[in-house]
Amino acid sequence: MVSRKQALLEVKGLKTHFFTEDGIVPAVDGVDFSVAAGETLGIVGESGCGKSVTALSVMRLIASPGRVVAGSILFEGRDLAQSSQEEMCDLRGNRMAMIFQEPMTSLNPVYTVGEQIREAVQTHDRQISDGAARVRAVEMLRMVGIPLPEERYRAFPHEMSGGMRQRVMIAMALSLAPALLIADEPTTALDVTIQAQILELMKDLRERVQTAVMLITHDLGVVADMADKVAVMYAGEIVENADVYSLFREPLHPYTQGLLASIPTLASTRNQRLNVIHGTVPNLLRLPPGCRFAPRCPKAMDICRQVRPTLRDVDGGRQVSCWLY
Amino acid sequence: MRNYLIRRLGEMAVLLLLISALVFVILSFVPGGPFDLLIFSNPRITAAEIKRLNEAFGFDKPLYIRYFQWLVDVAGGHWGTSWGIAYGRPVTEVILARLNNTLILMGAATLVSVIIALPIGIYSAIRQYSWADYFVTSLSFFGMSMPTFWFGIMLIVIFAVGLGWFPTGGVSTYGLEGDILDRIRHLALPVTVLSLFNVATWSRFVRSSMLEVLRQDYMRTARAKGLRENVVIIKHGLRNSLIPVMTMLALEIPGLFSGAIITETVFSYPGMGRLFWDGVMAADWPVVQGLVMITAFLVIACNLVADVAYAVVDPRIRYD
Repeated sequence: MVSRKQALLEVKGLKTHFFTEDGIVPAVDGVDFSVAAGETLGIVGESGCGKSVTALSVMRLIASPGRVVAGSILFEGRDLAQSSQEEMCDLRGNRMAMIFQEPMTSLNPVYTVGEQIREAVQTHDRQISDGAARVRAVEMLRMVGIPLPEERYRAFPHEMSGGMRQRVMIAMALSLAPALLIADEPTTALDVTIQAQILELMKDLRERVQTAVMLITHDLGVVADMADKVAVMYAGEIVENADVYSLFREPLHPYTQGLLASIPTLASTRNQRLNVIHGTVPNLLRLPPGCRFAPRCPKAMDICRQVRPTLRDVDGGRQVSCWLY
Repeated sequence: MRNYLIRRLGEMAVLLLLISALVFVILSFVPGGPFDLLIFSNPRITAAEIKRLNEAFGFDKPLYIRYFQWLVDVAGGHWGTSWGIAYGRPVTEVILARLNNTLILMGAATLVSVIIALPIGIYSAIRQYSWADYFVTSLSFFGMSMPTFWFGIMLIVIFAVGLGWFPTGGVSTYGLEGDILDRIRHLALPVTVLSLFNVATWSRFVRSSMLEVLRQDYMRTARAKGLRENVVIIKHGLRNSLIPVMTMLALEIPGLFSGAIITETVFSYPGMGRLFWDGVMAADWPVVQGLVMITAFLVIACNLVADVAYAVVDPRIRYD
């Protein structure tokens, strides 16, 4: 297993709460995980489980009324939770970069894609000349497989397809060879064929740039394809941490089991109903007192409804937050 | 783009022709004519003499012939002769004399308004629901709901009559016509009145436009690149939020030329707004027709300018 001292990013007890008029929403409520250099961590969970908020917290891009209220985010030996915005600006886009779910709206419509990549380069490399930064931007466009990169440099985002725009976002994110790339549902908004291309591109570039990836997705297929380790999130918590093989071979947490069982297979017959996890994600304003998954859990016991379990080490270097283990 | 412009200019010509005909017809329905002054000032004049005068000047001809004659004259650069407020002087001369005054007043008011409204709008957007935002918001509603004539008179009462800091009206002091400082002193109060309303509405417009942009995904991308917050706001935010603001300003331009009737009247400022008012009151149709045509032309032309400017600042817009 991954040894702790090599960790590039180590998040401990992270809590990000939103202070709304209806009350405090604990979108991320005590999350631990780590990413080693060059490794890919998949964070999986349903919509609203806090995976995007976790990613934005690491980037320190949580906007009001949200705030990181507790925990530490150790990145390359420094605690980002304690860093100033000034220090974060130097890291963002430089040592750590992020790509988003919506390629259609993530690029500024009034600047050409080339200018937007060049801006990323020049923000962190202030010595570089305009010409050299431009050459670098064109190189990046070529690297992400955009045909005719010199010409596409002058294209505006609206002149490109969603897949091409996501390639531009990747080019921008990798233009300074970051140690960590956070990808927040990078393929969710794309067509299935384009999804596969983007994932292939990310796998290829991950090797070439030697970057660690924190991949946020609700798609277990993407996780199986890309990740070394997986963290499963539910209602603002991590319920299971495991390497990807163990997780798919033997899911421990009933939620993980439910997620895996809900994937339809070709072997299942047509008339067979899909396995679903019954019930809905709890309202974060009114969380159950015990395990947050207990109301939907087929294996729930009395203790589950009363006492909140914590993430504990189990055999095989895995962690799970469940009273069954 | 070229074909688009040609098409738009063609539409513009047709529209102006329709407007001129409409205004000509409407004005012909209104009682009163060029010889009213004669009738009032000379009780001995007979109906037969008025009839002869009308025949001599061609006012007895059918409407469509008079309209056609007017069109021919306009094509030759003659917009007719004033028969009321500036008896016997060409309409173009009467209007041009006022246009300069109005441009100075409205130009100054617009400049002041933009300089104040932009930063206020941006600030209250990035500090939405802050103490300052609420303060500016309440002030805006005050500015929007304040009647111009009342606010103007209050300013005169306090700052001109009471404190004596500014003149009560007019464009310049007799004997000091070329003095810039004197001119500015005369402009101060009317510009304040006009700017209060503009700043109130425009700052709200800038605020909502900026708020819309602040929510956009590309703002988060800009932050994720490591850009400093002020660069994010100015380079990525402002540039986008100014697109609708620019369109709005382009559509305000016709108002600059046609003047502000109430403000000009309160401050007895000889501008286009008051000329229009005086022209209507004196039943001086050639002047009124000329003013309406200029305003109509400017409104249509500025719409075109706004559309073209839109395409220039927003690369997503193409006219093919």
